[in-house]
Amino acid sequence: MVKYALFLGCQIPMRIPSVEIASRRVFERIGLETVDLKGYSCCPEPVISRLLDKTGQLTVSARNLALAEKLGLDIMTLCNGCYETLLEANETLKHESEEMLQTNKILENYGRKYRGLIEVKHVVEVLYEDIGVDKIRECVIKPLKIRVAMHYGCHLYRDLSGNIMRKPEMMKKLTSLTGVEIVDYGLERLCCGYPSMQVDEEFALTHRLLPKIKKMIEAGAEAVVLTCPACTIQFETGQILLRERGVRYDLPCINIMELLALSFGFSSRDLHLELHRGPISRLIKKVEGD
Amino acid sequence: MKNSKMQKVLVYDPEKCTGCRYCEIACAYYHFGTLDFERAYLHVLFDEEKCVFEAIYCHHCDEPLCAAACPSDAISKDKETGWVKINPSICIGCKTCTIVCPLSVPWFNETFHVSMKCDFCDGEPQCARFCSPQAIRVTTREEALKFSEKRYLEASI
Repeated sequence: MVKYALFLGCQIPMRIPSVEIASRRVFERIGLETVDLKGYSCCPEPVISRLLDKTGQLTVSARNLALAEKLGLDIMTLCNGCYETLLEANETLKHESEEMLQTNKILENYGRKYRGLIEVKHVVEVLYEDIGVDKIRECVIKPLKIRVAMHYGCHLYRDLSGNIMRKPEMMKKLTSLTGVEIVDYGLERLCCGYPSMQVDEEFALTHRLLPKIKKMIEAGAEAVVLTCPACTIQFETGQILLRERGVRYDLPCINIMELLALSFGFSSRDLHLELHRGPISRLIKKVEGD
Repeated sequence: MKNSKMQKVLVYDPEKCTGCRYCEIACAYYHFGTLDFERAYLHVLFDEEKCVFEAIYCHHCDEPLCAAACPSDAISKDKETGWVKINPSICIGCKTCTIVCPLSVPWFNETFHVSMKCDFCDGEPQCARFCSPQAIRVTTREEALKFSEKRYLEASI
């Protein structure tokens, strides 16, 4: 049986808990065993924390990696940001012996040690490579008759092989298994604007989020499929902020794990999709009827 | 520099860029401790109509026009590394470097009244370090030229 240490991160359990619920339902159905990483902390955030304090960032990441290593399991993340942070930290620690030594000196104070024995994987990779499309196709009992646009998220493009489309292509194939029609809108790669919100909110909303949503709607999308919680927050709260600027697009967001869970026959009520901040009820009505 | 082909430079691939501007955020924070696009030493542009990306960044030229035109000799090309830097204590803030640079890379810092530009972060450019898809990365001048020639020649056909 495929078994991973589950790294939930901060945003999913705290801000989009329906993604955690859906993930657990999907894992159980496809036979993916996960062990909760007890005592984990923020990954931490992949850019600002690394800029502020490289040693601090590496130490916090190493501590999280050490927790999984103690269980003898590789880490699986649901969040793109956590994925890049832990992947990068793992690479640095494994290949730069001085960094490993320094980090472990700090971890020693907390009774932890990281040896560099585990791997970091994104849930998309695990589903596609370890479980396989055939197994997932078998679990789809309720094909979803909706048109969706894909948004992969910047950190999903991070890949040690250099092939930036490796994981996005996996995500697209997994999405298509649910029966949805995927529309191409030409701006798939464009950032949602989440990182720019900290620098220039006006720019982030009107020159990143807005062009994407416009193109998605023009292409006939009824929802956007994501895997990153930060992007989901940007799409959902960003649309609320755009209303203040006189622009209204009610495009619902759905995480790929929620989409899979719906196609596996779980109800929106069971998944608590109502916890979304976007106009999810419209999508639910389309999927489940009145 | 003895062997300019081996000089470490930045190279940008618009086919990988997502326009997240983490490169600019990292650059401005590293140099000024602030999150401000205006203070970054490189800029990513996105044409919403044509859906294309481009980046403006210093190429640390073999024969830098900025250094040749600087009236106060504030700009020099390091003999060892090849990186072109402005000495802010010599710069008189005349903006000649900005005018002569084919990409107008140097920008005028209103606070310090001097021109500023990419210093290659002393060997570890933060823009490349924080680019998730590695759209901007560090390579040798020889590799960068090969990549850019292919890219621009293909685009012109």
